Amino acid sequence: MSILEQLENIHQELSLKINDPKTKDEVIELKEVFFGKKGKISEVMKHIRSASNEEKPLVGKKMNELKVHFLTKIDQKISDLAQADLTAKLMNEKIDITLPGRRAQFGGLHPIRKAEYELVDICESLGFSVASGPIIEDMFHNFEALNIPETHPSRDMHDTFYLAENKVLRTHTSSVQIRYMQKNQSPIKIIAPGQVFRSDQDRTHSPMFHQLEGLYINNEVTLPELKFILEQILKEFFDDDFPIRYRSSYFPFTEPSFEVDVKFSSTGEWMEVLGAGMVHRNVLRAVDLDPDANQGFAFGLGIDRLAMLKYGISDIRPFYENDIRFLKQGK
Amino acid sequence: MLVSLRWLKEFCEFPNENQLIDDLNRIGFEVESVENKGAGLSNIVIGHILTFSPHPDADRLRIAQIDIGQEAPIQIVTAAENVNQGDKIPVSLPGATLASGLKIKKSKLRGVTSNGMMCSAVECGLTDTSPGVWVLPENAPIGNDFIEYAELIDTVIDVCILPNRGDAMSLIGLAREVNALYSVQQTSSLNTFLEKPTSNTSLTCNIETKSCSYYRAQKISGLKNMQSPIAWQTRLYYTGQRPISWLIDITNIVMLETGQPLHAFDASGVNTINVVSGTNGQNITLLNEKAYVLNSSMPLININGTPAAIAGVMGAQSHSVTSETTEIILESAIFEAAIIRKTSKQLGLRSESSSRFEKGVDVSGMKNAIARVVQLLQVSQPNISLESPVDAGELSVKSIHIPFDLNQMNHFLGTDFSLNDVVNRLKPLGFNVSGTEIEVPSWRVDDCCEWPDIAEEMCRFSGIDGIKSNPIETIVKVQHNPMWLLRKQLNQQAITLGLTEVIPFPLTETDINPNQPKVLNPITPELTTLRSNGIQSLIQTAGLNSSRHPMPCRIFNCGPIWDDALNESWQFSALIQGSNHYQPYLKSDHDPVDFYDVKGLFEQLMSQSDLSFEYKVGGSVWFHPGQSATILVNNQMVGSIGVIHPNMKTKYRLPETAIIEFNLNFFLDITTSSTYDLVSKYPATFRDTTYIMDSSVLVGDVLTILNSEKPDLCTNISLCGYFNKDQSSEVNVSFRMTYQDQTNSLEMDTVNDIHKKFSDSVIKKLPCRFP
Repeated sequence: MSILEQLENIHQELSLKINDPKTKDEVIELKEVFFGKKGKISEVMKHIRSASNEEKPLVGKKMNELKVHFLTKIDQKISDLAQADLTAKLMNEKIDITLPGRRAQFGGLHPIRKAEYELVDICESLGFSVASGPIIEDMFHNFEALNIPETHPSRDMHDTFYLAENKVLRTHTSSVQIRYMQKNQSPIKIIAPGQVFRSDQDRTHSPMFHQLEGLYINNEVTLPELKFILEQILKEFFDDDFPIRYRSSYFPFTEPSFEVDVKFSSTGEWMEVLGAGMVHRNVLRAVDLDPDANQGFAFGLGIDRLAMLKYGISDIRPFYENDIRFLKQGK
Repeated sequence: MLVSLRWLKEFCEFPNENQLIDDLNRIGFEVESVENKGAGLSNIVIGHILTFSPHPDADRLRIAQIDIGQEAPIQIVTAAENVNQGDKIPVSLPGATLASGLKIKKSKLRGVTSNGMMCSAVECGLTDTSPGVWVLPENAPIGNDFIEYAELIDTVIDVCILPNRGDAMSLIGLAREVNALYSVQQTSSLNTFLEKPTSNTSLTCNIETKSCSYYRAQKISGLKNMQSPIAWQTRLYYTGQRPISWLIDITNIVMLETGQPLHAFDASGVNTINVVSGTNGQNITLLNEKAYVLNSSMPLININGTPAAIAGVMGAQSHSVTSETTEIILESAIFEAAIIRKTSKQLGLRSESSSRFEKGVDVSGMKNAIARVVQLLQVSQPNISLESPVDAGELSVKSIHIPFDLNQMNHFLGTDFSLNDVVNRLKPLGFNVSGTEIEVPSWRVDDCCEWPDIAEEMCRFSGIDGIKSNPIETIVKVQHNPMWLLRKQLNQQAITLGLTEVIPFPLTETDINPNQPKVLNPITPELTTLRSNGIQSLIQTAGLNSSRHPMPCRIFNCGPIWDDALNESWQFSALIQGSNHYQPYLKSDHDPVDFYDVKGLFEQLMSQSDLSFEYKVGGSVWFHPGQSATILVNNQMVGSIGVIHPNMKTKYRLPETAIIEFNLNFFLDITTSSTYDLVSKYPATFRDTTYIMDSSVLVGDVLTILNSEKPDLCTNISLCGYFNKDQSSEVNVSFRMTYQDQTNSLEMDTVNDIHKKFSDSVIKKLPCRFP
């Protein structure tokens, strides 16, 4: 039998056996039997020298044909079966993907702090700088300089906590206005967020709560400028286009004074959110600013109240109980 | 202040009640409640009791025959005791609805038919308690509709009067606002009551205290006290007063109308009236039948030398007007607002009178008030006789003229009012506008002193809603607030480390420092003492949480603390329990927190800081003495960390808990590294060294030496092994040193030499050896 014929036989045999192996090992064995160093093809090719000169190129061509035709097929089969083996193995490593993830716990800011930071961010974007002052205040900064003399009936509006040495726990952040004006030149554009204290306690009043004071002083300041700032703050904070209502009111340190209500679409009710006004001339005098050469506006936001409105909380007390189940709801 | 709109309407004009309420809210008179009085009432008429006969089967019941203006009288069975034959009374007939919603039906009481019910002021919705059936004056018209007769249909609003608006604590005052609101051009015709001519008096009157600037007493005689007209009584009830008798009711009515508190004394035997200061410890029983103790700052009215009233607050029982009174002394006075406010506060007694005096009473309105009293007295009893009034002190009417620049105001408000607008708005309020000057009426002199006050009057009525808003053009330089920024940075850092912020009150019941300052007027014992530290609040918060649920706390707070000299500083404190990433299916995460958890937390919080910290074992009373550390910077204590003391664990029922606290004042210079170094292009090599140390040696001691001896080429020293077999007296500690040069590759021999010398430096100084 010529070499070419032998190779032709191998071709036919391979054609019959190529689909027999079911495992990777069987395929490797088949490959060894035909293409291995001692395989059938090698055996035949040992005798290549006996081929005629005409036959040699045909043998070469046939060899190539065998390799192209079967060897790639076998290698493909090996890799397919290997992949199937791996897949089967990986499926054995299957885990319960519904178990909760391993992670560090999230912390979170207190809802009041969130509201405070949000308000401060808004005000900073409107050009206000953060100022601060002490929580324990003297009568001058908490009352007298703010046009609240001792005999004034509006002192009754402040349920004050008194300390020794004629000091009080500040009843509003307005005291920071005075401290800042004493130390800085006009123009002044500040906000002062912080804790304040009133001796009052119920569902909507806490003995300690948070205010954010705003103050703008320049040689000429107008009510329309105050309105612009307030409307920007409320719009940004509540992220909602709701009606705003201005009500005339009274604060000793502003004239004119007013309060601002916001109508919530959820309840349809008007809710008071802030007090504001043009800085009273007596306040300017108290810090040695000439009221004919300086004007200003001031506003005060109740941060707790705004947080309650924004986060739908109807009772102020949970803010200060600090049950982490309450606090951790925030996202 | 309760206001009957029916009554108010006698003094001003307004379109409709809902509009009025909306507008009052807008102009600074917040309406806190609105009540539609008498709305549910029906079918009540005036009856006349013709006869009474006993009930055959009940001792307490009587059978009355009552004329209600129809052909035949009706029969009513009643248990009322205060009515007699001949009395006129309100009768609710079958089909009537009473204030409580009760419907009256024809019924039988113990077998006797009853065709209605006699009514008291309670059934008419005027008050909550009543002594009995409302006995009406003799002239009440039999059979008339009682609801109409008593003017029971009314709207009563509760108006909040701001502290600067004492002038509006009256119907006349409020009417001025309403007239200005609807531009009704009248300055209120109410001030035109005339004082009647008088006869001479023998009364004398003196002021012996600074708290009274003017006192007027006027004797009126020829009176016969009686009950007030029913419609007056209704108005008094509706505005929160209790009708007492005609003479007293009139003083109250005039006070409500004019805002001038008045007082009537029984004048029999009265010769002298002195306004004096009280004596410390002096006792007095007032008309409310309660006893009070006076002090020397409280002004007192003495009649013939004995106390008859606490000035401006309330009359005493002596010299009080009774049903027998035939002559009165009518007092009207100006007491100093601040003194009355203080007195009323000290007594804990706020009367209608004191609440008006303390906001300031219109000096010019006083004579009108007296004239109004006389006028009302004469309506019922025209033949009364008046003695000439006795005055003490002076009635000084302050006058204020405000220079006014219309353009300045318009620019300030962003409005375009004309001078005519200003005149039209302010005239009903009593202001006199003349071009460049505005004269303030006497009742507003405490409140309106400068041009912004006028600006407020203008925008108050026209509304601030309509004013256009306008952005600020001036750019003001931004100022940094280091403490605010530090607090914000720490708060943000803390939440990324899995801590939840809590905000406890910075006041506590007792502090660990017994000398902490205290609030002089606390409202609860828990809020008495200013806190000296942040730990206690957090432990209490954790205690509250663990009493409510089993979730571990990982909480922090950055808040104020004080020392005993009231100096304020800011304290960061954090408390942790449990594991940071606990899941029940994980093996390694069940360990409770320990010292190294809080130390790690502290180090992470401080990772932005360039400060170097020293740790000294032991902390305050809160801590486990062996598992806590005091943190020092430059030998100054800045805070502490550690596991809490077992005693605290027990006291607050806590699981294993660790805490951090440090004072922010020391960290104000925390800086984030502002330069970046380039990484060397040449490879780094590593060398490990293990020491076997005596267990008395601390890793920190070794690190201190290594850091001080560190060769230039060593770029990092890190702990890579720590082993203490069976708590033995020796500890194996391994460090890994990194060697790297910026400009060359390092030769192995060079590194070995350097490393050898470096490692040896520890052996020379501490009781330890190489393995």
